[in-house]
Amino acid sequence: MTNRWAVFASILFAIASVASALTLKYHVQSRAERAEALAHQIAADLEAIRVLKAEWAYLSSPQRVQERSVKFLALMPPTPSQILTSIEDIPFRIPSDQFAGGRPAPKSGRGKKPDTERQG
Amino acid sequence: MQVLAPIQHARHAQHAPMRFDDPAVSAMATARNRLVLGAIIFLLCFLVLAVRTVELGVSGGIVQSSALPRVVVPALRVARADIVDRNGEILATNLESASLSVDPRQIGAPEALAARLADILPSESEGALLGKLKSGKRFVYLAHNLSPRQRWAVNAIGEPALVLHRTEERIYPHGRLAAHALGHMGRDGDGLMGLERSMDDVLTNPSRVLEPLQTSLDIRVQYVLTEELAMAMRTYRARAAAGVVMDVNTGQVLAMASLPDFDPNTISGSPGEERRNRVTQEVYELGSSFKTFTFAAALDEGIIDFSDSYDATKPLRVARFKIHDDHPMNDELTAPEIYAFSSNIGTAQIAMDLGRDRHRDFLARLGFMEAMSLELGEVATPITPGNWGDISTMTISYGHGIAVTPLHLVRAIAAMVNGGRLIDATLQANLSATPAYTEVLSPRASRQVRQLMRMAVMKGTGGRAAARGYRVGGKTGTAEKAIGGGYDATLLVSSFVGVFPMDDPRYVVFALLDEPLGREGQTRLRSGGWTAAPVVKNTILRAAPLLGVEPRQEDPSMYQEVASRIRDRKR
Repeated sequence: MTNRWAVFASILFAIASVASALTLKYHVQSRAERAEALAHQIAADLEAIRVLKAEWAYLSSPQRVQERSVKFLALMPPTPSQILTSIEDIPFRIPSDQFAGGRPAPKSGRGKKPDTERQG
Repeated sequence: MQVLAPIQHARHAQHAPMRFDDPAVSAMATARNRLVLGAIIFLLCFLVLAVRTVELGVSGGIVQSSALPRVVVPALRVARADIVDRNGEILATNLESASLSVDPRQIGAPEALAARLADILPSESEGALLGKLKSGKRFVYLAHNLSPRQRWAVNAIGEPALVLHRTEERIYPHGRLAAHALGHMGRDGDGLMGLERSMDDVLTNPSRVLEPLQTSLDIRVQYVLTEELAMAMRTYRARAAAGVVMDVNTGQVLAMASLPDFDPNTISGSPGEERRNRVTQEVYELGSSFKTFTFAAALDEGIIDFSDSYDATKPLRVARFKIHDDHPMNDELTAPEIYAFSSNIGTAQIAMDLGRDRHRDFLARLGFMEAMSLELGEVATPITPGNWGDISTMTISYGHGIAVTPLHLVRAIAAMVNGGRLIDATLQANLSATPAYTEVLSPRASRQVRQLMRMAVMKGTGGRAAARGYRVGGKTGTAEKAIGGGYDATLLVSSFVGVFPMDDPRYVVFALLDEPLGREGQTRLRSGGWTAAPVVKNTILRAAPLLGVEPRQEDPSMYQEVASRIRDRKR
């Protein structure tokens, strides 16, 4: 009696292991195929990135940007007097230490410059 | 047979009757027990394997990586490296494309196929396609550089005789910009001009095709210079134009423009005139900008000082020549005035005081006697007088009688203002290394030249180059063209070489207009100071913020001494 159960269990067990081995195999196969497909996709994307970079270089070419700017923006070339070379020159600027949280730092005169230096 | 004999013997032994009281039988039992033990051990092992198999099959995540062959991403296939500018902006790149070929002998109905192909390939006429399809050869190219859409359409025809080949197309996204420096490609994929030709080995080296070639060019500055030159060329109706922007401390060329230009994407059909790189390939007598070198040599040798003055009241007669001033002052002029107001008469006298040999040797040290070493193959050799006499010395002192390329002049001007270091011009970005140089001028003389150049803009002929805030210095150059042994006063080469900022020079900006006719109705106003100086000014105004040069007020005391020696110009 025990013997028959043992045989029965063994057969069941054999079927289960065959099934799981096959499942594993197909799983691995599909993963490998997916990996292969991804590798090809990556290669295609790399090529596409090259194309996009070239297109970006074309679209951002200074000539094109200027044409668009003239067409859509009312911008004029900046004059030298409009160019500030130090952040301290920006008027009505809140000193950065007041943003840091906590209490405002005592006034030290930083961030303020005499107006005479901003004549351009 | 003999080998099997022991086995047969063993069978006979098995069939022998067994007796349990036999000591041999108890030995058999022992053996059987041992066998069972071995079988159990094996069974356990197999059980472990089976359990593991089930576990692997059932469980979801397999974390552990195995010794399976790694998945390899196919490498990008590129036949030629990109060319980028100093900021990494793509100037030339290879993109995948396709060529279409056909085996005409396999085609059944060439007329129908030709009609369908003509729809797909607008650049080819149906008749030409039909001719190719009926040619009876084994292999004919029908078209090159097909777009992805065209490729798809060709595949959709489903004609097995048509074959698409993977090819690569060289693309220049910025079109005409920097075309002369970049060069262009031939149909067979070899560089025919510019960097494409001279750097062919580097660009096609398979081990580094994915690594772009970085040039010293800045495409934004290139655009500014090209646009300003093109505008001046239209305004003053010039035949051609050239321009350069160079870093005075490294010799790196940021922009190199030659007009008329060409589009390297569609090179076929451009006349040779457009392919000519006027910056490196063409020699010009550049006129008064050469006075800079006469003054530099004289100041360096201690021949003149800012306090010296020369008589410029009447034209100078030398043998059968007569030296005039373009901007006559009819007065005794101080040395700074001679430079600022560009007096030929005064400069010729300075050159004579300096002496022929010292003048010539100085120009030779500046590299004016030989072709430049540059990454481009298109370089011209300067034209120098075969017999360098006193007359040559005098005329060369103000830039006539020697013809050099614009890049020669720019390189030498850079050396004049950077403290006297002559640095080879280069188109390659080598951002870290300090370039090799030769000392050609003392720092003191270089400082004096800077003051003179600043004065020429502040008070002299270069006033139209004054870009406010950027402390521009420079020198105008207006030369008559040599035609058939003499000079033609109606054909000019007008140029301006500017440097900014003058208190700590960083860039040379050069602009040249070839044969400007002047504005309509203003044909007398076509000198370098009138036509080329505004190009330099506008280029500086637009490019300086990009290059990180801040506009600011200069310290007037820097020029106090020299300015006091220049009277305000009579109008």
